[in-house]
Amino acid sequence: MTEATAQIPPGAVKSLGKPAPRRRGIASVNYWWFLIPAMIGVFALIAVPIGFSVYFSLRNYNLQLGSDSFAGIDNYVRLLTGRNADFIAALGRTLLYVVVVIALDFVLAMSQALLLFSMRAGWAKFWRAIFILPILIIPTASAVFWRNVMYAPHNGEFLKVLGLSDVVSPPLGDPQLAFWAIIVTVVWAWSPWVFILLSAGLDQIDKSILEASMVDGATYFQRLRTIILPLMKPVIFVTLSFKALDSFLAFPFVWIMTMGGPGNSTHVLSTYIYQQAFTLLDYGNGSAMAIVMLVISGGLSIAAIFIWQRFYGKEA
Amino acid sequence: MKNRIKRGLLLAIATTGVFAVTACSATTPTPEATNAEDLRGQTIKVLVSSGHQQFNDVWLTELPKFEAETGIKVELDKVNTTDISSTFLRDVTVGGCTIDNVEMLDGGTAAASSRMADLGTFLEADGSSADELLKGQVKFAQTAYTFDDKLAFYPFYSGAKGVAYRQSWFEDPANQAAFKAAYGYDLPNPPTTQDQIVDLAEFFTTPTTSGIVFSGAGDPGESTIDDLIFRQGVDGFQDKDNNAQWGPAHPDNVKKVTEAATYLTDFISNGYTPASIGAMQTADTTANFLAGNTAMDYDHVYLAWNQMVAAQDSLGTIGSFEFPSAEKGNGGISFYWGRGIPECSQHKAASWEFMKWVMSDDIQKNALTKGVGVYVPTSVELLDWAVEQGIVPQGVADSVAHAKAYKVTPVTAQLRQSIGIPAYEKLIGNQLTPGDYAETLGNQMQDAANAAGITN
Repeated sequence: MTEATAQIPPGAVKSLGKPAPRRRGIASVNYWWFLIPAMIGVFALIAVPIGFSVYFSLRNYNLQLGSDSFAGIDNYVRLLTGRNADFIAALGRTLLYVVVVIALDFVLAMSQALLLFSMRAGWAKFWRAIFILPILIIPTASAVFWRNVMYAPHNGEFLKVLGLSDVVSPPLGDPQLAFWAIIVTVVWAWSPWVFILLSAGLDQIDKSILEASMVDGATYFQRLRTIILPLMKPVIFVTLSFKALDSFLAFPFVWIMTMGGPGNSTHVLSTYIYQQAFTLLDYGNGSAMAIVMLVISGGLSIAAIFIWQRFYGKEA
Repeated sequence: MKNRIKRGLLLAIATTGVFAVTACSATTPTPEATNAEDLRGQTIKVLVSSGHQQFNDVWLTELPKFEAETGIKVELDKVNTTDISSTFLRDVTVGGCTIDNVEMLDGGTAAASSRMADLGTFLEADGSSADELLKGQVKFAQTAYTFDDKLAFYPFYSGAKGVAYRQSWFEDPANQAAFKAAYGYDLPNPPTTQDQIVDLAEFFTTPTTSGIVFSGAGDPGESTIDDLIFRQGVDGFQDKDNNAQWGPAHPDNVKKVTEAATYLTDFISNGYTPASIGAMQTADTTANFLAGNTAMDYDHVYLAWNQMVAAQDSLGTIGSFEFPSAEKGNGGISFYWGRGIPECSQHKAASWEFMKWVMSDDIQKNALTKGVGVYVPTSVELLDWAVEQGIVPQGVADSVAHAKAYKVTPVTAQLRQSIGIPAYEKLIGNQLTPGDYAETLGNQMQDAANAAGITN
């Protein structure tokens, strides 16, 4: 026992080792005061808008027609029973968009990240700067650039570069191609975001493990399959979860490049809802669609959180 | 503490009461009761389209002069063309009516009309009348802005489809001889029938040039076929009972729409248009024409007329003409804007002063000459002046002058935007035959009108 501790009375030591129980009432009251600003923010920015949307979704509220009457769940019934075929098509297209964009983003970004991971540091920095260039352009500008330059109907530079200008018609005017043309643009513009996160994840891998496996004679693909990808799983999961939600809410590229056309062939949920609510002023129907979309995206978020906690929570 | 809360509550109640009394007693001055001095110090909020860059110079240099002269402060709120109707309707229904003056696009006029003040009363207070004003307007504008005998909007801005063409090609003796040899009649300059347009489109189509270009997508595309449908003899989108003009109630019109759709798509299937027409809107057709690739551009050619005039140095003479109608006397479609004053505005008199100023010939001439781009004025006198000055092409002026007035209801915008545009794009994309296009579109329009509960 040191000199200092010897001078402390036994009761005091006990009280230092185990804090005295808080006086519950006062402590909890103080705590809640600090939460009020955040609660006001949540209420004003989340609860109120959602509440209004729910309210409007239960009404036949159309500013263009000047109608406003209680409709009960009619708007929802029309949507969920498939009577609005365009909504169902937009929903299906949105899900396809999410899956394809995630898959392409992952393959492209992971390939780039792995390439740089095995590169010398100087070159890796150079290529990293090149790869992330598209993300520095704001999405609206990217969409306008691809709409007016790359896919421009009277120039078709992109198709000329590929030698396809005589084979393929400018894609944004073709109902079969327009949707895929938008996906190409989106992957070009936003895969660097996935690349940055995956690249950062790769940099966290302990290289000594990889060196040890090389000493043991593991091939590149064995290392990739048994070491790199398993260690990267949490990063990949979080990155793709965010990307999935982001893709589900996709709006600017579709709206700027095609506004949902030609022939409604590129509408995703957000553009379709925007058109119904803000172009055609059918707020009742538009609000019901927005709530359905909110439920789906909320479900995706909760599933992502659940999976994260179930499989990676302890590791994290 | 309790006393403080009580005092606070009493103060809040008293303040609310004062506001309520003030609001109730703040009656809107009638046109007769106002004079210039009363308006000094008032602030009006004016909702304009951000797309109307023709007025850039007016807002920048002339508006401050108006403010200094009248003492009325003008707050300009520029919003996207597609958002202007919803922004306005939101404001006057649930937004507290903060807007005092608004530019309204044709599709939004019917829905907004019941919320607008009768401009006739303001005109009468100034010693004029609605009839007097409308007498000086192009034909369609004499009825398009009036709802239930109320002049809801001041006629302002119009547009119509016209054709810009390579006049020097048409005047080339070699071309004229070759055309006569091939078709047995003189090369028409400009053409006056739809059949002549087909012959010309075929004649000028070569491996490197197209005979004709028009918008194949979006709103500009939909309005192209509407123009042809009107020229085929169909009178608008809805009849007097609000039924679809080419729906089940009008089988005769279905045939006319089929003919219009066949006529237009034949240009594509015969290879007289650029292959990429399905992706083209006005900006693209203009670029295509200005690149020297096409003989005739059937679109909103007035928007880029100054560029076309400037391009004559390299392309040779460019002329314009109104697209011929299938039957003589059938005009095409017009696109128009009006300015209005909401009935709920608290500054109607100041708003009217602003209206008179912005619609004056001097200000409109300023917009037409110094702004970015061109619009087509609805005033006959101003339109003639704009044509004389070379600002507006003659072909478009003719189209506007002959344009057909058509009924606009609260559902018209929906019929055109959510049903008409996708159907047109499917027609151009070869997903619908002309017959299917006419029938499907007509049925869908009728369903939408029925669903809206506006048919009789």
